[in-house]
Amino acid sequence: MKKYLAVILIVFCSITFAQESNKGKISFTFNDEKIELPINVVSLRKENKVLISIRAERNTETVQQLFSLEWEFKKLSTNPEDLSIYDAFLLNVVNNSEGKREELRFRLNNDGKDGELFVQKGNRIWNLTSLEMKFNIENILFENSSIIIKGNLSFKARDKNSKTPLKPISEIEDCKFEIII
Amino acid sequence: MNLFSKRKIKCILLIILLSGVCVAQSKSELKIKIKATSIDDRKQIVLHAHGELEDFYDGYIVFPNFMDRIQGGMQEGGFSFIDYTGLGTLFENKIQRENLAKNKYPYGNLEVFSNGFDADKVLSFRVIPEFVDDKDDTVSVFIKYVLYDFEEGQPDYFKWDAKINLYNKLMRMPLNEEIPFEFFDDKLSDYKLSIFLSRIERGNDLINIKNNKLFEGIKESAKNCKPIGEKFKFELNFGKSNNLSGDSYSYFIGAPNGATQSNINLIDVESFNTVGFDSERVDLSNDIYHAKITTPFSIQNKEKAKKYESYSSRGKIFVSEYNVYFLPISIEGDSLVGDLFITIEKLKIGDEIERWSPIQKNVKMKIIKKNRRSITTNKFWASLVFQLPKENWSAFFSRSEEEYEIYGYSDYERFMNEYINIVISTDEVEK
Repeated sequence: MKKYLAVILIVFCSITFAQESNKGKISFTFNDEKIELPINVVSLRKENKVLISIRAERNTETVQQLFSLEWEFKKLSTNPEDLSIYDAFLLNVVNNSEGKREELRFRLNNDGKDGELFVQKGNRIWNLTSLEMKFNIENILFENSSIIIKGNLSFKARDKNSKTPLKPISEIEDCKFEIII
Repeated sequence: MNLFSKRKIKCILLIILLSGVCVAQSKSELKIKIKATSIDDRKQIVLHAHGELEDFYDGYIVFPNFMDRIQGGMQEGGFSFIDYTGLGTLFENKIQRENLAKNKYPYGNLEVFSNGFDADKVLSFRVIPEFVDDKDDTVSVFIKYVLYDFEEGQPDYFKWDAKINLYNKLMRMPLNEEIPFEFFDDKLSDYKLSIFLSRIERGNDLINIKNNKLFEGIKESAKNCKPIGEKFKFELNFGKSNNLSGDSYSYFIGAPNGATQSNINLIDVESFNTVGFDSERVDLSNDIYHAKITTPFSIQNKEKAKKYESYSSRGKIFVSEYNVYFLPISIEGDSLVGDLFITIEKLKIGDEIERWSPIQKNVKMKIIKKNRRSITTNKFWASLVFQLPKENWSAFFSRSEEEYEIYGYSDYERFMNEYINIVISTDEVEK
């Protein structure tokens, strides 16, 4: 009987895990809070360049967490030189819970010539003066007719008018993603 | 003594002058909005009027028997409950018109209300606001209204009859808040009615913009504005069509500075001369026109539609809201140039996450001047049709423990085409 229960439990866990992670997952620390989200939407488009877009969201009445990324690059590769910002880049991270509202939005258009850098913390909206970003694709695998892309990202946005100008106003740390297409 | 008198006179003159300046600076105006919406939110009329604090306002609303559209109108007081011109030749006589303006014929206009309308009930009203002082944030409102309740089962319109009830209501209500007409409920149980009063400083008729990006866009456009000096009539139609089934819905007709009407869905149109965001204000050389459109959201993926049909939270979430702003910039030759701004919220998720991109577009509309032989009363007329872009958005959320998984493009956008049509016109000035 115990064996059957164990088998049923293993099968149930596999199904649940498969459902939650069928498009991949993302984990990161956003403004000191650790967040893990299943990826809901992922697309990979190849024309002259490669456009990758991922959207991971957990959204209930009390908690709204979102990670959304669109990036256009030269080719799908692990070589950092192929990952420069091209025509489209969008990063949007939201963490709202129990009256707290935190949002980071960074958008670039037209080869980085114009865009938007926006941070909201509570009711305060910051006009940011500098940013640092690192984006890597560590591994690209082809398994069971799926493409699995593993990578990481970090982001720091600063405002010189802040009381502590060297401390980032908004920060994404240890962001690891696994995208399954 | 004489010297003292002269000083005294100078002081008095100075005080009068200063008072005059202060009064002139603090001269306020009143905005009044009366809204009637069917309880299923499929029919609505919003009546707008704008005038001096001491004005009173007369209006009427015709609630239809079978048709989808509510009719109505409201204007500064003096025309009894309806425009006297509706009475045809009956009131061409000046004395009769004056009597009508003095509300001498409060019940005499039933034929006008019923003529050409599919009237089930007609509400005619007079609203008289009374302010204690300029700083007061509440107002006393005296509302006198007559409800014409047409008898059922009378297919012969020549033999109609109606129950007529006259009511008076005195209420103290806060400014800038929509207050329901709860006292109508027993007589108009199929409709929700509300009144909104706002006192605005002259030259400071403000609309608050919630979206920073939109505000920045309008601020930039305002720099290019050249005063046109016309108060436009702004009308907006909103349409949806399903490109598979061929079903199309042309929902809305708006007409500010008077009535805003809609069948099936909701629309609200107003104009403002100042826009604000937080504490920042931008005065505009030309009024900006704002239309808010609310329409049910219908998911086109049949499996999901079936799944969500039983969800209790669906009613509040499956509502789309479109905010359209039009700022006239200048008249160049025979064209009206303006900036169009649209914010879109396809679902009411209430999480303030940006899912739908705002639209900003500079438009040029050819002006069609009035043809003297034409029956139109417009001095000029300009129109524009704008197809809304299809976006690849998504929304994954749970409300009341009910899970939603919506892929905007595949579940909605690829099936539906949406457009807005705006019409800008000016009425012929009466001579």
